[in-house]
Amino acid sequence: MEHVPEQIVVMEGVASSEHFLVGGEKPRRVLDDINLLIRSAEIWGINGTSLFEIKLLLEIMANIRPYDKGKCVLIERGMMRLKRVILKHVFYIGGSEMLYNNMNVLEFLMFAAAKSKINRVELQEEIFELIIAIGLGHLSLTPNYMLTKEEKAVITLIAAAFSDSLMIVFNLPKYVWDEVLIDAISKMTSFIKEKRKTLILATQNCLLIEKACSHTAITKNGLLIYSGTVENFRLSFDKVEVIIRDKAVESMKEKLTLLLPGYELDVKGGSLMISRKTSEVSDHGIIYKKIIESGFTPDSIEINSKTVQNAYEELIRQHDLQE
Amino acid sequence: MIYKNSYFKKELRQAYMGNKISTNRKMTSALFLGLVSFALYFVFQTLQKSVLSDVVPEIMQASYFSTVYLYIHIAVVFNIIYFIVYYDYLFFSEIRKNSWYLLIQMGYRPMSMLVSKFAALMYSVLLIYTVGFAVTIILTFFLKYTFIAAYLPTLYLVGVGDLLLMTILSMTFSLYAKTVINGRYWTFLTAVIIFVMKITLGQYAIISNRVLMQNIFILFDLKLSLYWPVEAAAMLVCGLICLLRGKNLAKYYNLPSDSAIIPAGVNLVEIDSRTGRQKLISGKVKEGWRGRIVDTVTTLFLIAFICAALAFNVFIILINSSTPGQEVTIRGVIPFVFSTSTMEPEIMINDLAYFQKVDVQYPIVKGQIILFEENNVLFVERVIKAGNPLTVDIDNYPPMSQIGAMKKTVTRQAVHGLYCGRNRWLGALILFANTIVGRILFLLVPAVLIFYQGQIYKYFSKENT
Repeated sequence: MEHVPEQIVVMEGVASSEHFLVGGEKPRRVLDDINLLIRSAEIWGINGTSLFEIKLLLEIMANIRPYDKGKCVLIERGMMRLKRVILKHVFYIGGSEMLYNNMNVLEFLMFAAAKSKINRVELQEEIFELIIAIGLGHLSLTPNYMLTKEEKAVITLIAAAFSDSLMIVFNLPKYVWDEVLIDAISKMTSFIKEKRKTLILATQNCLLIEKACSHTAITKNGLLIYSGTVENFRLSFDKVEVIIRDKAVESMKEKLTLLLPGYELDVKGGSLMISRKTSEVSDHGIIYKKIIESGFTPDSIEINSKTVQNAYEELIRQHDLQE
Repeated sequence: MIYKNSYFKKELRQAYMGNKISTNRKMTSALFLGLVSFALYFVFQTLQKSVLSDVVPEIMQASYFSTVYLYIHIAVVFNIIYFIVYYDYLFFSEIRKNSWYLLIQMGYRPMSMLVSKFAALMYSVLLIYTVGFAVTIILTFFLKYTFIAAYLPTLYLVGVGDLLLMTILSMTFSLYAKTVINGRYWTFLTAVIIFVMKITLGQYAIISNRVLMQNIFILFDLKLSLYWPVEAAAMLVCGLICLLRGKNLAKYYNLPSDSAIIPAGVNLVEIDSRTGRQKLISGKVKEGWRGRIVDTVTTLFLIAFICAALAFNVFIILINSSTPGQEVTIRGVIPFVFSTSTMEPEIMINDLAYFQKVDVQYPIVKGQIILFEENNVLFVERVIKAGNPLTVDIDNYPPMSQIGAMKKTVTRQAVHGLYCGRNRWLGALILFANTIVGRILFLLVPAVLIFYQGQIYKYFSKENT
């Protein structure tokens, strides 16, 4: 039986040779002291404050760009000295221009997967069913030139899923994902996991990370400030417990601040966010009681289901305060 | 429907969505090429009595040679335009767009793709050319010219040689062109290279001679021209370059520019940790200067073309509206389209002759050619006896006519100008401008360009970005 490597990416103290230079200031490494371990069949979402930082991180991972210091091992095989060279075990998606515009989606995927040993009829059935299953059935017969760049990227991801590469690097942090495509990528990740492949995607879309990824890593000012599971990230950093929606949120805030001294109250977009100050688990029942005590009857009270977006904002805020 | 495209079939489709559509378009293109050649032949026929008959008699003759000769040149022009428009689909820009990266990851072999791409393009080019060639011959058949089959294979071979060289040169250049717009410029350059090669290596002297062309082996006579050995060597070298360079390029992922995601006001530098040397990778200031140059050149070219076409039209209108006593004068010179052969060889039919405007005091001597008015009609004749009145006569009497019949006396008051030169090409251009095609080119095209200049500008700007 073929050995499937467990460790897909191992980065130890990796620093980029690229530096940011602002005016007369001292140059700052775009990436510095990056330590990251990505295992087989994990889905990673890499997020950060700078698009260039996260793009460069994935380029280094995919052997597209060299790094200055540290160690990076891909699929337990080391790293090629020669950069940008095509590696059979790494499928890098850094743009959406790989598709042929004179084909439709299904035709292109059949063309791309033509070298697989699966019978043509079965292959087309499998691809077609996959496109429908991920919610892009409406695109299956659309000519490629009519697709948006984001849709093209997802089609490229489908092709990559049919390749023999163990690691797919989806490095398009600038792309804007709508709900349909987020859903499609999220469903694609299940297919990718089934095939024991690893997907690493760069994005600033927290919803995409929440829906599609098992793990996430966050960079800020060239440093990795978080790496771990998405669930842990959400629970650790999203401290919002309850969201109250009402016309009189400002006066509610004043009153509840006195009643809930262990919580932080903040008005955002017409909603009152009640967040815990400590990392201890809080009791939603107590908060509810206090709201009732305050004499207000809000239009709605919602227990926050912990989002990556809130966790990300909190993490960045904490780091801003530290600086 | 089960999709079963191979890479070769995909290449045969070129820019079209379906194999059948592509084949139909190719056939239509071939038919179109034949018709265009035929139409152009008729346009040239309207310029029979012009400098063109002396300079390029090979396209002015009433023979199959002229129509087919025109066709092989139009085929080159058509293919260049086709290559430029569909550059993305036909050449190796797909390697730079990483389309091959995806296919290689999916199990395709670069060498097999290289050979397939080359074979498919050659096949398509030759198919269109051959069908168009046949269409041209069939259309010429209706003109009932004497059919001489001997020079047709030679002409066919000349066209095939040009197209093969142009295709392989364009393919080779596309491996080096980093952007599509540069690739298009290079593609245009291939046509220029072939044209220059044919002139400098004496190929045109052979192919424009319909007697020589009746022997196919004349093309390979090294005493007459080295064009074919040079062409064969160029094709061989380009073929090898394509294989080596293509295979090498296909090994790598092509990294697009990151300049769009670098934060504003920040420069990206690469610092060698051992030497401390800094190398600027990208800076916002450097961006877009090439694009601006192309924009400026495009705009200037459009403006120059529109202005030149309009100015030429104004010039033609002025010349055509000249009447005796109210001739158009430009800096004291009267331009006059001479439409008879009475002053040959000094002034040929349809030449644009220039006459220096003179007054009655200006001394006119024997042997000079003058422009004078008689009965409200302008004449051009040579002075055979000076004085007042002058005696004038024409240089060239038509056969069977009585010599001296046109001799007449002219008063000095009737003399409008003194001949000072001619331009044969401007004369031919004016003749052409007065044809329907000429009117379209010089009036309609600038009008359309003015109307759509915004869209044209946007198109080129989009191409740059």
